[in-house]
Formats: sequence, structure tokens, C-alpha cells
Amino acid sequence: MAASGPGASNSRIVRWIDYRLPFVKIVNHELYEYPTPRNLNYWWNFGSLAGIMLVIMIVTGVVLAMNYTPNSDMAFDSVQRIMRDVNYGWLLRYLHMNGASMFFMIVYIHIFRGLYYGSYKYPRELLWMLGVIILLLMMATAFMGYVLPWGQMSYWGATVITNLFSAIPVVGNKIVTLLWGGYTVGNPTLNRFFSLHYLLPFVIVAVVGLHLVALHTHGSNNPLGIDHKGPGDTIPFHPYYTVKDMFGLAVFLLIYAAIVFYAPNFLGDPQNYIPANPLQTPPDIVPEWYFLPFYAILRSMPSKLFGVLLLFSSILILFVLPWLDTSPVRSARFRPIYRWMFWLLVITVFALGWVGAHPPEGIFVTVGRIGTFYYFLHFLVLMPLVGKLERPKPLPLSIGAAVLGAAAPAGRH
Amino acid sequence: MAKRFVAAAAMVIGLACGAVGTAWGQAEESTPLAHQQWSFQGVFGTYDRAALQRGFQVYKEVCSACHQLKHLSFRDLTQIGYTEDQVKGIAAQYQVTDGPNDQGQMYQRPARPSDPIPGPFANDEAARAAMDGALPPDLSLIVHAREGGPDYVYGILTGFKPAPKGFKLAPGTYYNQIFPGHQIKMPPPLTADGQVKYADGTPSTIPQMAHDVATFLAWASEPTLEERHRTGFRVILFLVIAIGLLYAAKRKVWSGLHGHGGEEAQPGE
Amino acid sequence: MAQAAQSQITLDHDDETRRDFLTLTATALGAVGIVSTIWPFISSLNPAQDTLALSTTAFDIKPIQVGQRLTTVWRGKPAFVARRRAREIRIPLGRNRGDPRGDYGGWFCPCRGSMYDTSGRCRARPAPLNLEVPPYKFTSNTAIKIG
Repeated sequence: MAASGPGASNSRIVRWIDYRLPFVKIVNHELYEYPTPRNLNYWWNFGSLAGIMLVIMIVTGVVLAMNYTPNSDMAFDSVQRIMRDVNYGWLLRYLHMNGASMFFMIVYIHIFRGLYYGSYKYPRELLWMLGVIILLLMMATAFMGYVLPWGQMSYWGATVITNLFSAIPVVGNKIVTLLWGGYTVGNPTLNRFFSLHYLLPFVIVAVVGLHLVALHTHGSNNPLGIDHKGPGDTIPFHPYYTVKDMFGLAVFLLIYAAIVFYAPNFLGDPQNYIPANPLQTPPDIVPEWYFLPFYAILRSMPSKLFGVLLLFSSILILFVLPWLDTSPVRSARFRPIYRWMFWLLVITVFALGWVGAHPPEGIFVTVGRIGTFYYFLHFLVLMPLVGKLERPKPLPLSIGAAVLGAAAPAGRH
Repeated sequence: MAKRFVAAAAMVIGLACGAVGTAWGQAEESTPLAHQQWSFQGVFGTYDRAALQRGFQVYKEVCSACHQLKHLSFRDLTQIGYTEDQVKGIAAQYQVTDGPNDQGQMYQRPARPSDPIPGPFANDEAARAAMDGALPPDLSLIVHAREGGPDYVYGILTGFKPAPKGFKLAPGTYYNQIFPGHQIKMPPPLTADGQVKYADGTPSTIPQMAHDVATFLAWASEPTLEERHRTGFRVILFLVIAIGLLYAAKRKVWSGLHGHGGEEAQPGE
Repeated sequence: MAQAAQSQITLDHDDETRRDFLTLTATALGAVGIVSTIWPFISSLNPAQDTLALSTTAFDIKPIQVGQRLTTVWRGKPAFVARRRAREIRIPLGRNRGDPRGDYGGWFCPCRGSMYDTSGRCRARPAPLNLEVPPYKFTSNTAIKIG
């Protein structure tokens, strides 16, 4: 019983198309036969989940855009019309708004998987960097998208973040005026944010395409972090990982559905149900949860310029990660010290998120500074040092040997 | 621009904490918000039609003097149990501005079911002028726009008490246990039992009226809640079945592999 | 294909049947899932509640004199309510000329020169259809509901 997909050269139609545009042949090779390490665990599901979320966001977004009006006098009301009058409008909106949160949750887990298993290391440096570009594009898209409903938090969040650029010496204020299209966040700003919010997801699609091409050049990493050397190390993507991805998708959809149908406003801010009022600042201006750790880093320093530099550095530092890590070993399974550092980083990011949700006073300032300090220490100092000084555990001979050999593969805890 | 950012940052620093998603929106000195029983809470919650109609009556007879409900149209009232004719009758009691007519004039006409429910004031400035500078907020989304939702609305309406000794109440404000800062510009709207004579005969105590109008306002903030719950039930049921099926399929497909026979690949290490 | 050899799957008949059953059920479930998912998106393109609410309009016909015609708006387009003279009800067969109402006493469309009679029928081409008569109902002797 052949495990491959559409039978290669059986159908005349298939042969006709393939001779002119080898579409079927490519899909067959990249999706069905594609040799994948046999030992991937569930942390490898998150890449395909991210791709699916991108599609969901684009589809719901396009349909929402058919009913949304990007004018500051009508935006808020148009969203209410969607919620109340458009057939299933409430569903489309809740899917899109909570889909953004799900998308970030998936991508953050995907990134941390990469950090743990060394997926950013040779020869996957470009793959990783393309991923960081995707993250940046997602952040820009999400920031602009949140402005569109034109609630209090939309307006004031936009005001705070666009004002950051005034920290740039000499030209800062001119840049902010250029961004705003005026002397404050207003209708010109909203209109251009809508245009860019519609555009960027398609740029993300293009970069995801490159990301996948880079991935397929050397294939996936795996929990052991060692290269696959022969057919004993890999299995065809179909049916093994297609069915595993579908199972993972179903589990994810259950969580997504629980939020959309039973707690759709849990992750949001009630203030955004108040129409934007330039004359009234809300008592607390807080971004959506997925920006909170960065918000904490931004506010950790008393100097505005320094805070802005730290904010941008915290993401740009990820670009050079493949060169910061000096360890010859990929997977943290075999790196006992690095493993501690990794979990410390996870705790730090959560702590920074907690700090970001609160006003910068008292204990929040202290924790915010410690967290910011550790974040940069981890990447700039610890990773280069630990890579050199650490004694990694011995690696198994091959993936196949580790999986098919002893009942407990080397290094398994 | 820099000054504006510093001002905004200073305001953020200076004021009460608000955490995303937590019920920490009240200032420290507030009475904690009591949790009421609502027919629409929980996974299987629905709106109590009788309570909605009573709540609408409270809104119409008490709140609509100052507060608008701009995102509702009269036709939406068919969802709370009124017939189309009843809705036409309710609408006809209101006058709305229409036009310009063929002479170029705006004119008044009785409202139709397709019209949005008109508010008491022509615009915000007129409202402020009538209310001593304060703007009574629109109530269409009030339950979504406040931490605590319906509990908050109920708490405000039942939270008017005499100011405690030593509390300095600014002129033109009233003491309220739940309102952040305790000084609210709205005079107590529900002043006496029996203030509204319910069409269905239910005794209209202050807690009853507060509960009914909070239920009505919860519906006004989200009329599609019941459809959301219903659809959610079906979707989740479908997904649970799908998960079971796909897990079995996954096990079956992977079972043939040497080294994985009988042993499931564990998530994580 | 050769790759099947990598994973040495040996299935006996029972396994095959069970796997086929799973495949069939999963595919069926998937199809139901996909259709149910697509439906809300398509449905959202249909007229929304506020558009539907404006799909009927009530009209008071008392003020219309015999021979007079009024224009109102129905579903975003003009609707003509005409009180016809007796002779107009008996359709003229093309006597009058040079009328702004066209040769047949009804309507004239300047786009391509189509002419309609007093019952809205297209008498001169090129329009392919008659004027649309909207569903209407007399709600009393002096009022109609259109739509």
C-alpha cells in the first residue's frame, strides 16, 4: 500500500500539468515523501499551527474589511454593526481578535522550541532570521490592527507607541508627524494603519514562503539536535506528520473555540469598548498581553531614549543569536547548564509580562529592571560563555540508533 | 511631542493599577464588587426574557432621561420578546429628526422600527450643558466597558450610601461605594421601591430594578450571546469527537514503526 | 514509491480495515467541519439585519391625485407610485409622441432610449426586461407597504 499522495505518473491529466508546471511533483516531494526526522515531538507541531493561524487571520480579516469603515467618525460604530447586524459578524470579529492572541501564543512557543533545541544553529541561521522578520511583521500588523476599532485603548496605545519615535535625536518629532499624518493620532493615522494592516499579512505570507524554502533546504531539526544521516533516521512526512499535525490542530482548535465562544473578552481590555476620546486619558494604558514583556523592557529605564533603544534591541538581538551561541551542540537535552539558563529566560519573560501589565511603580520597577538585565545578560554574555565552558553530555550516534536502540535513549530525562 | 509623552507617562505612573484580564480595576479603597447571579452567566447561560422586558421598562422610565442607547434600534427589541406590532407601537412614541425634505428643511416624524433608539440629547455638548458639565455615558456597551460588567452596574445602582464621617464630598457629587474614587456625578437614579410599575406585576424593589436593568444592559451590550453559546456547544462537541478520532488515527498510523511500537512519543523531552 | 520501504509498515487485513474506517470517518468529519466553517463566511455576505430592516417601506397613497405620480426610495432605488387614469389602465398602443414620458405614456430611459408604458412594460428596446414591480400590499385603503 503506497504511502505517497497523488499517484505520481498514473493520471494523464497529472502528467499533462506536471510536464508544463511540475506542481504535483513538487507537492509530492515536499509534502508527501519529504524525509522528516522520525523522533519529532509535539513541540514541532507549532510551525504548521502558525501557518494555519495566518490563513485564519487573513480570511477573517478580509471578510471583516468588507464591513469595516476606516474613518475616525465611523470606525467604532462599524465594528458595532459587525457585532450586531452582520450575519455571524460577532463570530468573525471574535475569531479575528482572539486569533491574534492565539497566533502570538503559537509563535512564542515555536520560538522557544527553537531556543531550546538549537534550531537556529548552523545551517539554519537564515531560517531563524527569516523567522525573526516574521515576528517583527506580526508585531507591526497586530499593533496597527488594534488601533482600528478606535476605542480608548486603540487611540491611547497608538499615541504612546508612536510617540516613542520622538526619542530619536534631531529628527524625532518630524518622524512622528510623518507617521501621524497630522499633529496627533487622528483620521489620517487610522486610514494609513488600515491600509498597512491589510498589506502586511501578505508580506508575511511571502516571508513564510521563504522560511519554508529555507527549512526544506536542510530539513527539520529534531529533539536530539543531531543531523539525520540516512533513511533509518527519517520517515515520510505523509502519513506520519500529516496525521500528527491534524491531531495537534484539533487540540488547538478546541482551546481556540473555548476562548472564542465562552470567554471572548477575557484577553482584552474593557476600556476598548469606550469610543476613543482624545480629551480623556484612561487611568492605565496597557497593550495587549503579547506585547507586555516588551512594554516592561521599554519602561524599565528612566530615560526615554534608552528605553526605546532597549525595546528595539530586545528583538534585534535575536537576529544575531546564531553567532552569540558558541556551543557546538544544538539540543539543550545534552547541555545541562544551558538548560537552566533556558528556563530562567522563560521565567524572566513571564515576569516581564507581569510587570508590563502594571504601572511602573514600587516592586514592578525592581522586577522589571532585574528581568531586563537578565534578558540581555542571557543573550549577550551567558550564551557565548556557556557555549565555550560547558561540558555537553555525549551525543547519540544517530537518530535511528537513539530511537530504535536502548529503551531509554541517551540523555533522556 | 515629547512633553505629551511625558504627560501620558506621568498619568500612567500616577494613577490606579489596572491589570489586563484581572478584576483589579478598582482603586484600593473600594468595596470589593459583590458577585450577583445572572441568568446569562456560565457556559449554558441565556437571557431571561421577562427580566429583559422589565429592564427595558426601567431604562425607558428612568435612565433614558439622561442616557442614550445608540447602538440599539427599535427592531432589536423583538429579540427580547416583543412582537413586531408592539415594537412599532414603542417606536411610534418617539420622535426622530429626518430630512431634508423637498423644501430643504429637517423635520420631526414618529420613529420606525428600523430607526436607532433616539437619545435624550441632540449631542454630547447639549448633554453636558444640561448636566452641569458631566456627560452621561451611552449605555449600549456599558457592561463590556467596565471591569465587573453586570456586577459593576448593579453595584453602582445599589451602592449609593450616605458619605462616611470625615469624607469630603465635592459639590455636585454623590457618594457611591462602588464608583472608583467614590464620588459620582450621577444622582441616585433608583430612589424608592415601586418607582417603576412593572407591566408583569413583579414587585419593583430597588435591588429588583437594578438587577433587571443590569440584565437588560448586558443584553444590549451583546445581543448575540445566546447564539454564541449555542454555536460554541456544537463546535466544541464536534472538536472533542474529532480529537478522539484523530488521536486513534495517529496511534494507528504510527504503530507500525519500529521503536515506536506501543510506545507513544511523549510531548517534551 | 521507494520511500515506503523506510517505514516498514506491515498491515494485516484487520489493520487495513480499521485504518480505512478511521480514514473514512476522519475525512467525513473533516468535510462536515469545513462546510460548517465556510457557511458563516458566506452568510456574512448576505444582507445584514439593518439592510433587511430597510427592505420594506410604508407609503401613504392618499395624497396622490388621479394621473399624478410620486417617487419614493425603495432599497436604494427610486420607486414610482402612479395613480393611473382609466385610459392608462387600458394600455395605449403608441399614440403619443415626444412626451417626456416616452411614446407609451409611461417612462423613458435616457441611457439607451428604452421606453416603458403605464404598466411598466418595456415597449421600445434595447432594455431586455420590464420595470420591476416590487411586491406590495395594501395595508389600508390609503396606505401600501412596499417590499
